[in-house]
Amino acid sequence: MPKVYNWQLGREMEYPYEGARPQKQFAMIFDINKCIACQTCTVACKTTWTAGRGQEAMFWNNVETKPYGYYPLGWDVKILEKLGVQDMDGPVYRGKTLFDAAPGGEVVLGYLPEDIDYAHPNIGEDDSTGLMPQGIHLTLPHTQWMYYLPRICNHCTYAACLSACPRQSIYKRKEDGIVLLDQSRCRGYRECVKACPYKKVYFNTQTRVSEKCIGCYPAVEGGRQTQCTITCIGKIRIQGFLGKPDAPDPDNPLDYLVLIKRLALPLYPQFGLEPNTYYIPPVHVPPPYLRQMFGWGVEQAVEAYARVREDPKLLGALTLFGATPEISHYFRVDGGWVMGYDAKQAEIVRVPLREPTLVRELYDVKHRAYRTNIT
Amino acid sequence: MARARYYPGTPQGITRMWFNGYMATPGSVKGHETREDGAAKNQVTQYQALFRYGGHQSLTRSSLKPTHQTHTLITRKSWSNEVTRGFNVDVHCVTSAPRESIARFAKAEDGGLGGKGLWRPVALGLRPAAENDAMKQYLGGGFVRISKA
Repeated sequence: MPKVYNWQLGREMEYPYEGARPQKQFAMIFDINKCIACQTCTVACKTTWTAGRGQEAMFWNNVETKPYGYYPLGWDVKILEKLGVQDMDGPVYRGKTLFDAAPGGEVVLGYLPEDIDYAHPNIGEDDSTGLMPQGIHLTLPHTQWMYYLPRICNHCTYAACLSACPRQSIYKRKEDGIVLLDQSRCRGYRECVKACPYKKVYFNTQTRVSEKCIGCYPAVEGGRQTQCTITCIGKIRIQGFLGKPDAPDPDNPLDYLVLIKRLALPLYPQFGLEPNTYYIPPVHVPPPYLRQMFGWGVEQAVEAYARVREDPKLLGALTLFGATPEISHYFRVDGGWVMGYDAKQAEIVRVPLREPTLVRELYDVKHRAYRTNIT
Repeated sequence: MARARYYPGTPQGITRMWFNGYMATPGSVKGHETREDGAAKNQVTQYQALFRYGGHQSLTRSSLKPTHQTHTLITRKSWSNEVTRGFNVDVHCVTSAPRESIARFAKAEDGGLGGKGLWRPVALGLRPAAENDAMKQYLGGGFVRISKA
C-alpha cells in the first residue's frame, strides 16, 4: 500500500491510493461552545438536498447530543470499540489507524449499521452524564455534562469511503477537495457506508444507490458558504478552504485557526482519514473524553479559548463566523475591526470586534413616547 | 397520562416535560377507551395524541397559574438560580405553559409493545443508567491511552 503523509497524526500512514492533495481543501470549523442544537442547519440541509423519497431518515447534516446522542445509533462507540485502545500522546500518533487495523482482504476497518440504527436521529437529546444530586453546583470541567456535536461529511483527505468503493464511484475533486459520489456508477454495494467511520454516506432505499453530503458545491463554486453554515443562527460555523498543511497562510482564517493556532481540532483524528471539519472543543467537558474525540491538544485549545479576548487576531478570526454568506479566503484585523476578503482580495465583510452599545433616550421626542426597552 | 423515559439531568424528585404538543382530544380519548390496542388515536382523523388524557396544561389548574396573585411568593428568577421574591413574568403572567408545578407521578404500565422487552437502545447498552462496558469505557475516554498529561 502507498504511504501518505497525515499532518494530523504527524506521520506517514498506509492508504490504498497515492497521496495527492487538492489545490485547496474544503473545510469547516464549528465552535461547539456556541451550538444550541436548534437544528436549523439540519433543516436547511434537508430542505435543500434530501427532501425526496428514500431520504426520509437521511441527514447529511445532523446535530447530536454527546455523549448519549448518535446518528446512526452508537456509531462512534462501535468503531472505537472495534479499533481498541490506542495511544494518544502527541505530537506523533503511535497508535493504529483504521487502515492499519483493516481485517485481511479489506482496505479499512468498518462496520455496516443496521437500517434501524437510523431510526432515532436525535436520540439522547439533552441527556447528560451521571446523576444530578441535590446541592450540585457548577465546576470546570462539569461533573455532569453534555454538549451538541454538529456533523457533516468531513471531506477527508484520505477518505475511507473512496478507498473502499469497488467501482471507483467516489472521487475527490482536485480543485477544492470536496468528496463526491457518482450515483450513475454506484451499484449500491454499501462498501462506502461500511467503511466511513463517521457514517456520513447513506444508502437510499428507493434508488438503491448511496449518496452523501456534496459540500454544497454549486454554492461553494460561486464563492458562497454552504447552506448549513449561512443559516446557522448561533454563528457557530465558518466554511472556507485550508491551504497546504506545511505552509499555512496566517491571513487565511481557516489556516490560522486550524494549522497555526490549533484552536480547532479534527474529529477522531486517530481514525487516520485526515477529516476536514474542525471543532473548537467544549470547555466544560472532562479532558480524557475530549482527547478521545479530538486528539491531543484539547487542553491547550480550551486554555486558548478562555484567553481569546487578549488576542485581537484570534478574536477577529472567530468574529468572522456567521458574519457573511460569502467565503472569506483572507482576513485582517485592524483598528478594532475584522475584515474578510474574497479570493480576489476584495473586501466582503467588516465587523467590529466589540459590538457597539447604543443607549437611547428614555423619551422619544419624535414619536412623543416613553421607551421601555432602554438599558 | 404521558409516556416517560429515564432522564438523569435533574435531581431526584424533579423532572421536566417538554415537546409534548399533542394533547388528548375527545376523539383520541374515545380511541384510547375503545380500541383494542388502547392507542390514544382518533379513529376518524387518525390524530395520535401523546397523552391518553389531558395534556401538558394538565399541570395547571386554569389558564391563570395558581400563583398569579401571590406577589410575595418566593420563586426562582427566570434564567438563573437566584431566588427572588415578588413579581416574575413566568410565574405571574399567562404564558400558556406552567413553569414549575408540583405533581405526583404514578406509573401506569411498562412501555413498549404489550409492555414487553426493553427499548432497543436500552437493550444495546447505549442509554443513561443502562450502559454496557464499551459505553462506560467511551464515557471515560477509555479508548485512548494518555501517558503524558
